[in-house]
Amino acid sequence: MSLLRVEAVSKSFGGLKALDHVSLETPASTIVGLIGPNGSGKTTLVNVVTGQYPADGGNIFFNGEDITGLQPHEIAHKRLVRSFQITRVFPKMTVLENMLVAPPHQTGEALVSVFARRRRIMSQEKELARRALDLLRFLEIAHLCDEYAANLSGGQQKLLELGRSLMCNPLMILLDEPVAGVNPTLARKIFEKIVELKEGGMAFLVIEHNVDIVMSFCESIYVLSKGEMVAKGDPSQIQNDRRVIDAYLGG
Amino acid sequence: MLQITVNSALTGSLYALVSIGLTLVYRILKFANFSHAEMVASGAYIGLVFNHIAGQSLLIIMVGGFAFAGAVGVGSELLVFRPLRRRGAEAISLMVASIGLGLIIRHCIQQVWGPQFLWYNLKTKLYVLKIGGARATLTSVNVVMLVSAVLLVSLVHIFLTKTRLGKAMRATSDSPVLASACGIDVDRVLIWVWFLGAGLAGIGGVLRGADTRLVPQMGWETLLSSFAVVILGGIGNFYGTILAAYILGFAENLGVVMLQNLSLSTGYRPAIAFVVLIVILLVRPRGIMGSERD
Amino acid sequence: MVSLVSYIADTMTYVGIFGLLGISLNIEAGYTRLMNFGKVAFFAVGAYVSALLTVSGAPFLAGLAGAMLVAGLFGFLIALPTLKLREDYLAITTIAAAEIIRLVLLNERSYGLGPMGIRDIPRPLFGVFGASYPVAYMAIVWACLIAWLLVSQRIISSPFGRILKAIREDEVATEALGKDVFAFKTKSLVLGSCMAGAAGSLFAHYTSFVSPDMFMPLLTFSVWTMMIVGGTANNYGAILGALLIQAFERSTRILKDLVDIPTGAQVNLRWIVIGLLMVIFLMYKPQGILGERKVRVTPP
Repeated sequence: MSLLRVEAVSKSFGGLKALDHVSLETPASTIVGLIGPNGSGKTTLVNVVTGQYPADGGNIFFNGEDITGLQPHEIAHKRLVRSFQITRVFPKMTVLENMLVAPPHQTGEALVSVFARRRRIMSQEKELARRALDLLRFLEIAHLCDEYAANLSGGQQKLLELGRSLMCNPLMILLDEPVAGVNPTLARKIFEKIVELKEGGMAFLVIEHNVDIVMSFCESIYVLSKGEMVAKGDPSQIQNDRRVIDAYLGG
Repeated sequence: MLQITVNSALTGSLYALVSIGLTLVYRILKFANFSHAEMVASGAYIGLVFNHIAGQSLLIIMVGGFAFAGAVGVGSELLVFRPLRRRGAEAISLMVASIGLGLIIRHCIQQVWGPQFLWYNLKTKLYVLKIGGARATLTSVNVVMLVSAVLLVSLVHIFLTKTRLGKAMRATSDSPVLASACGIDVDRVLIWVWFLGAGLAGIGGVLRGADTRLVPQMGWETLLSSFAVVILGGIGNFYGTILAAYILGFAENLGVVMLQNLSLSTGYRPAIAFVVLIVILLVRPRGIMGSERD
Repeated sequence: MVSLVSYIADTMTYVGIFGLLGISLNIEAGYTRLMNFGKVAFFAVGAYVSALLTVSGAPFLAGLAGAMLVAGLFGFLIALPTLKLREDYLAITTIAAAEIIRLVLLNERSYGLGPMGIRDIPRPLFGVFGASYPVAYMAIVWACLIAWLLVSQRIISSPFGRILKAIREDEVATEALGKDVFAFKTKSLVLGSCMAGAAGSLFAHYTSFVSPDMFMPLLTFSVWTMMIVGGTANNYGAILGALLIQAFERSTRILKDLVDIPTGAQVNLRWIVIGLLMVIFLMYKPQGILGERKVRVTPP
């Protein structure tokens, strides 16, 4: 049973058809790759799935629910989370603060509770900070916990964004080029962590340009070209698929 | 009704002159320049000096106002906005800085000339326009306003479409990055945009001062209306701005009549532009002729 | 000759009132990045509501409460349509909205509105303190300021405050993490408006007179300068800014008494310096004198 099911989603901007009846499925506990030439609509698809743009047509189902047309924050609440192509960490907040923003349903988010339920908030903060530091240790950036996020290197920011997404306790994460600009060793390490998380039940949809990474870590791959889904299959099938080669050479 | 039309054309002409510079800078540098109001005031007040030196020629006063206001505009770019941009300031900081700059200029003007109303020393004639059964009155200053607006807007149109510098300005307005990639010296073009925009606002100031009176707040009085015009017309869109200027001019003058009919105070006149502004931003922020959404 | 004590009390009363305005702006602009350039309108609403209530016989505390309530309500009403706007549009809209409010206060003639303003606003506990009233009122103002300061500090260090900061840093990312950004922004603006309303009430009962021309956009700009100079995103910075600007204004007035400068020049000088401070700090020290404090969460 698919955790995420995208059915025939279309999106146009002005006269430009960015997505044309795109369908995709992601079961739980898998890593699915989404590849395609630049401008093929990969990020647009993520934006539509997560509610940043409304779809012009088609439906999106997550965890059995129809999430088409919901607002981004509502979708994140359903435990479908995304990262951004260009990292969007909170620059003038510390790494730990970045992590602590994410968890949902914090008692301290309600203004009245800030005054009425202090003790509960304080114990929640302690618990969340502990969880955050565990995650930061898992991602090997715990030593930077009090550093402003702006001062982190590109790769460390990518890790922070991943950690922050994880703090949302998601069922699935849409990763938009999670290792772009990151050195190959660190990139593999990041994906090894992703595999660990996948084995714990999480699902991932990964937009990636790095062919090595995609072939090594993704169980199934979708290929998008000019807004259309041109191929899907496992890595060996995709490697030999004429249409994929055409898409990259022609597009 | 004829009088309303005439008044609308006058108000629209003023707004057109003042708003051209505002919309161009807003588009190219992406910030709302609150100190633009003081270009209006600068032009008007230096006009007093020219009035004193060169006599009663409104034309000379206008030219003087244009040049001085233009210089103030260029000065603001070189002394405040360019250094801020070099330091990586974002658009919102430029906007806040422009508020501070506006305060400085306005109160320097007030210090030099005082807070009281001032008038040019001009000989004005009163004309009566009769069309069909309707009549309207206009002063010679009003006539100059209408003629100047038409002339200047046409000149700017020709300038923007036929001259190299004008085309460079349009290219920069569309995309400073692309313009630069095409070899346009964006910094230099920008100086001319500031000079022209502020200068036109200065002429607007002179004409408004000649039509009504000079007071240090005179620029600020027209600023929010100018923003209404800029946004209504689509930021950076020259033709949209002109159209919007006259639409707003008409709305205001018609609005005043409606206020009177509703027994509301005509002191609410400025509120008309404010309401238009708020409504536009809520309903169609890109304006009538704007192309991109923000 | 005014006694030194009352002079200082007078100064510190204004520092307290403007400090409260500064903190209110800080929550909105310093922490949530809401470009509220209509701050004076909420100040005015608070002042007028408190004045009208107390002139009709209500006690001071009712006036104060009413001021906060109505100002907060105005904040909510303005937030609904405008908080989805881009920052510069929000700035322009709030200035326009504030001017509309001022025009209503100026042009309506009913309910005590109008250019003549409201006079003889009762001063709380006036008979009780006699000659040392200025000091007593200063204490009232500062009690209010400190109360709101404590409230603000608590809010800022809470998860709620953290989300405000996150919104300031990156709205899109915050939304993508599941936070209803619009709701948080609205709460921030309502909170700031309540505080501004309280400041307005304190102001009205101090000067005992309010009129529309005391609530021009210039006041909003001076509060912004106080925040920028003292330290954005730092409540103590906002109070420091209020102190510095008040000190400067007082010193120019003293200068006027000592040296023969015409009154107009002193006013112009004040605003020229405020403008200069705004520009210079934005250029060279945008974080202000105090700057934001780093949140170090000690690991367990």
